[in-house]
Amino acid sequence: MAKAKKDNARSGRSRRAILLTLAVTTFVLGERAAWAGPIHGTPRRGGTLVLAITTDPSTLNCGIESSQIVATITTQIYSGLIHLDENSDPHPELAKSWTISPDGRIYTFHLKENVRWHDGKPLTSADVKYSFENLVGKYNARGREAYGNISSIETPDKDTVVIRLKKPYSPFMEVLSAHDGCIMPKHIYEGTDVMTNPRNLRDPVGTGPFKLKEWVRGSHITLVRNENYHKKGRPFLDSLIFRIIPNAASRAIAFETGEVQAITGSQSFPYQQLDRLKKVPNTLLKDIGSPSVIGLHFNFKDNPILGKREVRLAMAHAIDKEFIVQHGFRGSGKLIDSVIPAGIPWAYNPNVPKYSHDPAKANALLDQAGYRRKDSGVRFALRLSFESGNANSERPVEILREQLKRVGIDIKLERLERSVMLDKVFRKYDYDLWWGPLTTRGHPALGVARLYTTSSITGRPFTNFTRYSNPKVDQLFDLAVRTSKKDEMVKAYHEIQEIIMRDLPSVPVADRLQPNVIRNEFRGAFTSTETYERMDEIWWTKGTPLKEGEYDRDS
Amino acid sequence: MTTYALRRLLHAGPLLLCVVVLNFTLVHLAPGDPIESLVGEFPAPDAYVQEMQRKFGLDQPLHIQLWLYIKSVLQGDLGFSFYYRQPVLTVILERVPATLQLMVPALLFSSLFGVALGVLAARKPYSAADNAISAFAMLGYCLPVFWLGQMLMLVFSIQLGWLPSQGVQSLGTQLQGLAALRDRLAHLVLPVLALSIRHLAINVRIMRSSVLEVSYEDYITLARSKGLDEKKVVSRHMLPNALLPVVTIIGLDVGFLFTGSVLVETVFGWPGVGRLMYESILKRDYPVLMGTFLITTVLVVVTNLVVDLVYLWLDPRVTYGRKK
Repeated sequence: MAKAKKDNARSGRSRRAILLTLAVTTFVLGERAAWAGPIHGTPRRGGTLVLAITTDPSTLNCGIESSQIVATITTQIYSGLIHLDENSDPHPELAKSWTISPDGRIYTFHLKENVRWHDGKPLTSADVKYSFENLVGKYNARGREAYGNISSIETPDKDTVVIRLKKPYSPFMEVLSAHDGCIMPKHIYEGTDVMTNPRNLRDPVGTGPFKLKEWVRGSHITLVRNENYHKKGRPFLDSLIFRIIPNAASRAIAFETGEVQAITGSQSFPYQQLDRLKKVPNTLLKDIGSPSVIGLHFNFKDNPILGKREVRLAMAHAIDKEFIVQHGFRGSGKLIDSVIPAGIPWAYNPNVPKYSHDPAKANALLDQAGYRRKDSGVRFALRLSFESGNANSERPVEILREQLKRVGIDIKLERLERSVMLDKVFRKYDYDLWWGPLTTRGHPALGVARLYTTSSITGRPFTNFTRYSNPKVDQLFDLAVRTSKKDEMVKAYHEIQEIIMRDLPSVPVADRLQPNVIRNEFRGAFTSTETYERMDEIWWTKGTPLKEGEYDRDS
Repeated sequence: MTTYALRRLLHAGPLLLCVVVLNFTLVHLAPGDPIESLVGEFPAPDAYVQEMQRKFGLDQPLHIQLWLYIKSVLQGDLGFSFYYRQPVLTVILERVPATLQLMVPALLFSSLFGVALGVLAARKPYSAADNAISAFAMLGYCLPVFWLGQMLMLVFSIQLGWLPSQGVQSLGTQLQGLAALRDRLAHLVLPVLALSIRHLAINVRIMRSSVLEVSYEDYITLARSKGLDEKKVVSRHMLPNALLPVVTIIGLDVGFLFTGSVLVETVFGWPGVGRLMYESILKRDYPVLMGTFLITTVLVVVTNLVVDLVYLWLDPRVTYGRKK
C-alpha cells in the first residue's frame, strides 16, 4: 500500500506540488478571466512600466548578438517576421502570411505593406534579405544551424521574401521571431562595419513598438512609444524602463517596494526569492518560458568509474527527484524522466526506461560493479561541478550530495564561477559530474540535439560535453530535423529518448518552470514563450480607455 | 615641498608601469573567454568568434598583446571594452560621477563622525558613553557590508517605506527642481550608510586610541599645568597630534571607497566604478578591468602623496627625503 502510494506520488507530482500548482494556476486563471479576448480585455493607453534586468546589454544590435539580455531590450525596438505565442506557435508580425512548400524547403513570406522604420523609411524585402545574409545568418548563436541551412534568399518584389533551405529543417519557423531573427535596417547598416556601427549603441532604428530615449549605463534604459508602429493604437504603454539591478535579492526588494513592477526572463528572475514574491499582494505570477532540463550529467569518457553503466544506473536510482523538486526548487518544476522536457509535449516521451528512487537497488548495483563500501562507508569519491551563484544549482546540489552519500558515494562540491565553468567543464572536460539547467527551447532540434549528437562534440560551451555518441541517435536526430512529416518526427524523438535513457549519459531531473511576476495594475504580459517579447500588448489599468477600432486587436 | 611632490610623482612612473604589467598578467591568467561570455547559453558562431578576436586583438600572442597595451596606455588610451564596445576611458568616466556621489558623502560622514565619536569616547575612558561608542564601533567593523545593506533595505524600504532601495533616482516620474534633488538625496541615504559604517568604525577606534595615547604625553600635562583651558588643550595640542594616524587611514579609505564599494553598489544597484569592476570580472572584459585597476592605482598614489603633504602641514617635525 505504502509502496503503491509512493510510486503513485513519484510517477506524477506530490500532493504539495499539485496543490501549489493548483494555487498558482487558479491565480493565473482568475486573472485570465478578467483578460478575456485576444488582447486581454479593453486596453487603455498610457503609463510607464519599470522592469528589473541584471546588467546592461552589450549592444542594441540583435543581428550580431542573441543573448537574453540583449533580446530583452531589442525585441521592443526591432521585430521579426513572426512572433511565437506561449506554445511556441508562430503568428504574423512583419510577415502577414507565409507558405511552406510540401518538401519543407521553400518558405515564402509576404510582408505587411504599412511597416516603416523609426526614421520613416519603408520596410522592404531587401531589409529581410540583408538581415539574414549579413547579420543574423552570420552571427546568431542560437539559430546558427537554421541560418547555416539557407541556400538562397530571393526578393521577387518589395513585399515578398523567398527563403530556400539546403535541406528541410523542421524548427525553422522557431528562429524567425525577434529574438533569433530580428530584421535590421539595410539602409543604416549596409556598407558599414556592422560590429562597430554607432547605431549599435545609440539611436537604433527599428520597426518595433518602442524607440530608445535614454540609456544610462549601469542604471537604466528608457524606451518610449513608437507613434508610427505598424499595429494601430499600439503599444498601449507610453514607455518602458529597464532598471539594472545586479543583485537577485535586491530585485525582489525593488519589486516589493514598487520601484519596479515586473521581472521576467530566466536570467533576471530571482528564483531564490520565489516564496517572498508569491506573498506580494496584487501580483500576477505566471510560470512560462523556454523549456529547460535540469539534471545530472556524467563524464563517463574520462572517469573509469562512471564509464560503467551500472554505476550511472545506481546513481539514477539513488537520486530522489521528487525531494529535489520540492526542497531544491520549492515545488517550482516538473519531474521528468527524459532528456526532452515535458514543456515540449508533442516530443516528450513519458514511456522511457525509468529509474525510481531505490537506494537498496543502487547499493546492490554498486556492489555488483565492484565498488564495495570501505570501512569508512565510502565506495569512491567524485567531484560534482556546478555554476556558483546559480539558484537552480546551489540548493539542489547540497541535496544531491546527501542522497549520493547514502549509497556510499562521497561527493566533493566544486562551485565554479561561470567563465571558469565554461572553460573547465565544457572545453577541457575536467569534471566528473555536472549539475545545471540547459535550455531546450520549443523544439528538440534547437536545444537537445546539441547535447547528444556526435557532431556536437566540439569542446565549445553548451554542446555535447558528456561526449555521448551513438550512431543510431545521430541518425534519428538527423531524420527528425529533415522530415516534413510530424508523425515521423515525433516517432524519431520518442526513440531517441528511449535510447539515451538506456545509455544514460545524463539523469534528467526536472523541467524547470520559469516564473515571471508583474503587478496587477498591468495586463497582457507574458504572452510569448520568450516572455520579454510582445510588450506592445501590455496595458495599464489606470490609463485612458481605448474604443474598439482605435487599436489593432490581432494577436 | 613642491620639489618633494614632483619627485614623488616622477617615482610613480615606474610603479605604474609595473602595475600595468602585473594587471595584464593576472587578468589574462584567469580562465574564461570574453567572447563566450558575450553570447549567453549557446555556443558562439565561428564567424562571430573570429571577427571579435581579430577586432580586439585577441588573436595575437600574449606578449604582443601586452606590448600593444603598454604602448596604448603610454599614449593615454586604455583600450576598447569587449562588452560595452566603447573606449575603456569612456566606460569608466561614465561611472565616475555616481562613484563620487557615493564616495564623497561616505568619506565625509565616516571621517567627521569617526573623529568626533573617537574623541568623545577617549575623553572619558570606560565611561558609559565610551563603552557605547566602542561597542558600536566594534559592531560596525564586524557587520558584513552585504548583509547590512540588505537589512537597511528591509527596515527602511520595505517595513517603514521611508527610503528607496535602488539606484540613484526614481524612474518613471517627472520630478523637477527641489523635488528631484530631494529624490536623489533620498536614494543616497542607505548606500552611504552601508558604505560608511565600517570606515566610521575604524576611524572611531583609531581616533580613540590615538587621543588616549596623546593625552598621556608630557606636552599635554604641561599645557594643562599652564592652566590652559581644556577646550584649547584638546583643539590645539591633542587633536593635531592625534589626527595623524587617522589621516593615514582616511587616505587609504579613498582607494577603498573608489572600487571597494563593489558590494554596496551591487546591493543598491548603484551604477559606480566598483560595480563596473565586478561586472567586468564576470564578463571577462579585460580592458575595462585593467583600466579600473590602473585608475585606482593612480588614485591611491596621488592620495598617498596628498596624505604625506598633509602630514607635513600637520606636523612640522616630519621631513621627507632631506637629512636633518
